[in-house]
Amino acid sequence: MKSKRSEFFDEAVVSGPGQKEFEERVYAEAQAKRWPRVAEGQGKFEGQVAVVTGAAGGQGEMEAKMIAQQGAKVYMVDIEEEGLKRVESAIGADGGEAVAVLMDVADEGMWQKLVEKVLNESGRLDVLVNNAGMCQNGTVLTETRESLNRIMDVDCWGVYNGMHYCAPAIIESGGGAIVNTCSYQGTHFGPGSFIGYAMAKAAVMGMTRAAATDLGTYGIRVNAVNPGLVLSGMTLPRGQNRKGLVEASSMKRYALPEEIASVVVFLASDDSSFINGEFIAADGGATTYLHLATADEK
Amino acid sequence: MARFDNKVVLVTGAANGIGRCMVERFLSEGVEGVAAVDIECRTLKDVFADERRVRTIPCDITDYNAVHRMVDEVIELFGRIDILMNNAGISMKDGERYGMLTCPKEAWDSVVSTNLNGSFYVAQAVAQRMVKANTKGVIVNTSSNTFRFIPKYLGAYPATKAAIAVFTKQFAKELAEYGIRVNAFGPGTTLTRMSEPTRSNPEMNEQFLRDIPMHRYGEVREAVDVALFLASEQSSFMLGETIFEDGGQSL
Repeated sequence: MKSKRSEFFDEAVVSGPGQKEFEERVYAEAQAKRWPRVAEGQGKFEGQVAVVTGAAGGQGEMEAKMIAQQGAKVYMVDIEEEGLKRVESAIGADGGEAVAVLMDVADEGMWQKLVEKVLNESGRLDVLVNNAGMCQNGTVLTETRESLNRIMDVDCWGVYNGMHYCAPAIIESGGGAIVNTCSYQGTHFGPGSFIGYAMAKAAVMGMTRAAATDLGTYGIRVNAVNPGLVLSGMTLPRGQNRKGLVEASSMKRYALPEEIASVVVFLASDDSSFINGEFIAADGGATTYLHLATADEK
Repeated sequence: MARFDNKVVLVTGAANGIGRCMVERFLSEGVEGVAAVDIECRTLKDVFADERRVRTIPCDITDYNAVHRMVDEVIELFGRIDILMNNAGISMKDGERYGMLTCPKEAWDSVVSTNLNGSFYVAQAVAQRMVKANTKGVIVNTSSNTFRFIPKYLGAYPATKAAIAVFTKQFAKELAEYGIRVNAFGPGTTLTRMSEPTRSNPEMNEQFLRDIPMHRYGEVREAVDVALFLASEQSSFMLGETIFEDGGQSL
């Protein structure tokens, strides 16, 4: 029993011939449709310490790099060792300070150890960026409680763990900022059979708001970014068949990872010092559509 | 290299509060020129008397023809408009608190004609010229958090600010093909003259400070930080968004 919509997306995972050319082409398209980049003010995080999860590639890599570039010492968390090492040495070569931490955000014990390590080594924690996430195809008909365990562990509990274990350390450091990563799938349930992803991201929206009220009193701001389609390891394998979504967005292109990272930097920095409990969509106008379903009806 | 090197900016509502601070901040971040527009420009003129990059232009944005004349004048002066800070707006007159049962027609109409009609006239006039000149410009509208948590007795103010958030999306969607980005920010209670009546009312003051999770009001600088983020390349993939900046008051 396959709907038109799920046919559209079930075949979405493509990494066969032509994938590399496709990736190069969409990257070049996105670059060409962008304004020329200008340098940001320096030193936004001077003397600060940050934790960025999912930092071994894509948007998390850019977030770690940009936060380090602005003066923070960045603890980079990921389950992918090779990528972590690569980003760590890239930041080091750029004159920044980064520490790679191989851990699974779903593991509470590891979070405890991470916070201990950060406090022992650096004495403070100012910024937490909960960026680690995964995506999985499946509908309400195909997914079971069990098949959703992993994605809920990572996308939902991973974020909760981060906030729960890091917030006390940030409070002790005199306040700071937490930035979660949501998705338009959390607000606008568009096409695509990603029920686990939608569930987890909607949970992140709820916990972002609740934590913003809980922690605002202690001088911690909690916000989230809602990225649209970003050129990254998570979206690109699904890329060829998601052309419809790109066409449906007003800008008609993917986001470059740094375009999401610059929003995260804004939310983590003092530039957003009175923004609390917000979700900022950086989706090229995808959610100016009330419903993304138009994408597969074309 | 500064964020706004070689940019020409038009700021409406530039005489006071958030608008005035926008002009100052743009100047410190490298702009080529700023057109500072307000209905009353006398004090503004003195403040920026020594700054060659600023031109003050008086304009009542509720007057459609006057808006077009003003925008033409800016283009004559600076050659183009890269960034529009569509910021002019009013609250209910003299901070008078009007309930929906009793709000007089004049009071309602006056807020609607400035906040909704005036903002639209300015955005449309500037957008038309951006498209014509093929300027890949940016428009930032000033909305408010009041339409998300609806404090009582603010008359037409929350409704007009909600309308601004909606036409932000309409403009964004229709102007995307021309490479023009349109977004808005929605400040909460900010330390400006406009919010003075709220803050000096002991009952409202206490309630507001209790309800804001950060237990304080916003500074003008903080609102302008958000506005300038939207005007800059840092938000290059944002379109049609309204960023609420209110310490969590409207959660």
